[in-house]
Amino acid sequence: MAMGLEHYPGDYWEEMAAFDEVDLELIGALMDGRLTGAERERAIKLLGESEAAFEVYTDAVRARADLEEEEEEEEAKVVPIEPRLDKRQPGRRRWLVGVPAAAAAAWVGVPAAAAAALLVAVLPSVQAYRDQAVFAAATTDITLPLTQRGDLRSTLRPGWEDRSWSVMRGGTRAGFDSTTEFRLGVRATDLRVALATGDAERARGLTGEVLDLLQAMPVADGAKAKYQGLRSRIERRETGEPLIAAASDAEKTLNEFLDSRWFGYGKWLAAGELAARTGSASFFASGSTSRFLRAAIGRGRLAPSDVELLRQVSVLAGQGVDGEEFATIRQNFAELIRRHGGG
Amino acid sequence: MDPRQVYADHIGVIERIAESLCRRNGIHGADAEDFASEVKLKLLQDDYAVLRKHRGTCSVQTFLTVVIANLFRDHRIKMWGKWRSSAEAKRRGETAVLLEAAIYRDGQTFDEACNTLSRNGRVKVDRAELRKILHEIPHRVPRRVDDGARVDDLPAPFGADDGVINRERDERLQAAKDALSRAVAQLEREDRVIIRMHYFEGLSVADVARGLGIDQKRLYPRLKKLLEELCARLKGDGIGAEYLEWLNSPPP
Repeated sequence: MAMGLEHYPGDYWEEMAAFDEVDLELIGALMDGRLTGAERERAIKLLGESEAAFEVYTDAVRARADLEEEEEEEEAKVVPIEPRLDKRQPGRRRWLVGVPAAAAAAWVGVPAAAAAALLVAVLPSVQAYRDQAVFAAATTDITLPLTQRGDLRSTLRPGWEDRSWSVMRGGTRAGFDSTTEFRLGVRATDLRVALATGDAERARGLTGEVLDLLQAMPVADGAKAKYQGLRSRIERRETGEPLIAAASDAEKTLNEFLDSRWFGYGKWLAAGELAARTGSASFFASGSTSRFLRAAIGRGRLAPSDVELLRQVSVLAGQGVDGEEFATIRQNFAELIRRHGGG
Repeated sequence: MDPRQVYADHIGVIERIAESLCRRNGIHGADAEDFASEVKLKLLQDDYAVLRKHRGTCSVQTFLTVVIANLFRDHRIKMWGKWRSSAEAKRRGETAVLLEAAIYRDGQTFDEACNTLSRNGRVKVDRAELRKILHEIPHRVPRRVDDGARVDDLPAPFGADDGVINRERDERLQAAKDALSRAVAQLEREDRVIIRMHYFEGLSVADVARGLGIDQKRLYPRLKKLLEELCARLKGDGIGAEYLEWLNSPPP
């Protein structure tokens, strides 16, 4: 009989009656992707009709995922930076944990095992440092695949910066909260794009919005001053590289002040949404974007539903984005922006 | 393939598989060690009889994973009868599954359950968050209903005056579940398995794809299409957006 939801037991305490003999090897072969045709149909039929088989199968899938995650974590701890032949045992490579070159040079002469042990102890902070660099990346770098397009302005339709957020009432908040930090990140990217397209009107509006958000933040005077200065320069109709440099400087001050992962998320998710909107395949092909996705999915401390959306983006990006996939990616980023921007 | 050698070569993997299954099901400490010992004994029994059954159509590691998952199922049934985590808890992730098991299967108080989860090490323990999860997962009858202190500690499903409203809510919810059950039963076999794995067992799309040997990229639009199909069938059965909105709205 087909296994529908009616087979979920209402009474969870009844003792189990005799259950089917489960073909474990068939389930294993399905998991390994080794079945085709009639054999695969047989395996799927088993999962659909045998409660025992389905339970064993789902538990096995989870256990395998755990094993693979552990193996990936182990592999990440040992990365060859310069494989060398061990003189004592010709042909045997000596692996060193990846570290900045200067630190590695200081360790010349230290026995490899001792060096590796020390570095494994340091590794969590190395990983954290790498993640921090990803999230702290400047919008100039994040949006480069977009801003170097000659046709960017023409591909962005009017109202592109509308994020459909609910109005935030600054007076009732303490000032430091993840939603504000996130919105600031989104607007940092939007501002960078507006400046890149020479859209002074939008750039002025976005700078004003950043200042509104900063208004409620205590001791943000340094960042406020920089953005006030930027707004004045935009109003004086300055253009080009000096203006972009001023915006980068203001953003750097804000980044240092906030020191917030949510600011980073805002920058990246906004860039991703705009990249998908404008069909910028190079954004999704870039190494920086994949590093962000890996950090956010693996170590970003996001909710499972957020991770699932980013995983889908990662899968699509990993195989080259085209056609309708841009729309799917855009929807995912837009949903994440809505969730975290207080929409 | 010498089963003795296979066992020796994979003893670390065997222990990790057992540990994963226990951890995900809220079994720890001495109970987890007992299960791991039981697994090793079973694999050694009758001159590695279980390992000799391996025909080679899947990898050794996968075979061990499936065998140990099967042993775990036997173990779980022996210990708790037909206890299963609710679909709602599985959807919410490991923390919810462990919390539900601690309280409704093991009969712990909320405080005891928080301590149990904090010993787990893999899940974040935030009491306010755990209390929120407890309110959201189905209320189930704990085993030790004769212990007044334990029962009092749990959130009551509803107050004395809410009987009528909640009966209607329960009836509507059951009608929606029955309609969903009928809609799922009409899907193609593989689609039913996919829906169950992702939405009722809480497996990620990546794990569903890997488990069934399907291209992950193609699975996303397939899931979307399946949901549209299920929605259309539910609407045909009178379960539409307004119906669900009523169910989700707070009682007057």
